[in-house]
Amino acid sequence: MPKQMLKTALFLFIISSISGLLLALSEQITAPVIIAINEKFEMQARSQVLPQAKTFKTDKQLAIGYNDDGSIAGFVIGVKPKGYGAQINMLVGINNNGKITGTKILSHSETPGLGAKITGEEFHSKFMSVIEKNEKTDLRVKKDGGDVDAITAATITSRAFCEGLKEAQKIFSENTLILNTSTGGKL
Amino acid sequence: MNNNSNLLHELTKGIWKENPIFVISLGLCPTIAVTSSMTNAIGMGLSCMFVLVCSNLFISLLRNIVPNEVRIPTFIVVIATFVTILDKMIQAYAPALSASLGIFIPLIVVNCIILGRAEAFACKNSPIASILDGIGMGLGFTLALSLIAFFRELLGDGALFGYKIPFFANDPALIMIMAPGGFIVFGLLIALKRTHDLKGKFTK
Repeated sequence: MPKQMLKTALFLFIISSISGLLLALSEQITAPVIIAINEKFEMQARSQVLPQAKTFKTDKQLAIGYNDDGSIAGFVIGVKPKGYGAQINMLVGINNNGKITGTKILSHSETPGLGAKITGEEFHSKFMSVIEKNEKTDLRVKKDGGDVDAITAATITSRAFCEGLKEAQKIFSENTLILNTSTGGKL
Repeated sequence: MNNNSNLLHELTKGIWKENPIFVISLGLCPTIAVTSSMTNAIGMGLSCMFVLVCSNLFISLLRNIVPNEVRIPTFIVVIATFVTILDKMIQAYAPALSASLGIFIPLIVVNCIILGRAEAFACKNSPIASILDGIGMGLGFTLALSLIAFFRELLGDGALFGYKIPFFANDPALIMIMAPGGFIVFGLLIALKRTHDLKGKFTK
């Protein structure tokens, strides 16, 4: 009996070892590719929401975008407001004057066909034209008295989007305050 | 001759007679979850086929040396290894597919079709028959997913493979790409296949 047990254990040991070896091998091959893809994706997303910046320096929750001459062009801020399904993971680009330059939804779990339209070009371009038009946009959906057009039948998602923008603005003003004091008022 | 037709049967049975979705009814969780678009359905189907063929082959090779008491743990280790390798490969070389299938690729580990075929077929048959069984079952799974996804994407999103189809795109029935739509299409297709299968039995 003990001999049988030993044999069984040894068998499992060998199978698991081979499996571990194969996994380590595939991890080694794919890990650099996956990291490169994620970095490229993040880079693209950042330049999409803050097009005027040429280079970026990341710092936890936000990335600082720099112009060609090395001056600060603006910030790309990551926020995660709570949507209808779960958290909406989004990037917000804000320039020096505190104006929103673009948004991008990185991941979400909103209802397909309804809230999921938040990733669509239509919603984004409509929102950006509102930002362009107004000197100071009231970042609430129209139903709540603001300026932002909500997605039809997806008010909760649209509200979450606005919450994310407000959160980003808050982070923006906190950080410009710090930068202002550290650089002597020169942003 | 007899041997050859047997092997052919192992390949074709999964497509119609023993279709994993419509007849055996295994692996229904991803079936409802990923069939909201054709691209996802085919991606999921082919991923499952890859795992099925690899795991069937290895389990068949191991069938005479694996101790009976640790049969299931061994199968799970083999399956999980292939799924993890596949998941990494998709993440690295097909990032778009990885983004849309998300958690469902790692969940292939617990897809009942794979363990089901290991237990019911691969551990009792030769490697060649097991590979053919894996290909057949994988094809049957892929075709079944694609058929459900065809109706769901066309009616629910007015599109196929993400391309809008005129007329259908005007006013799509959203419910079809949500979970209830998945159950409705799945139920109707099973009913259709059962009607067809039973017809022969009763008219005779």
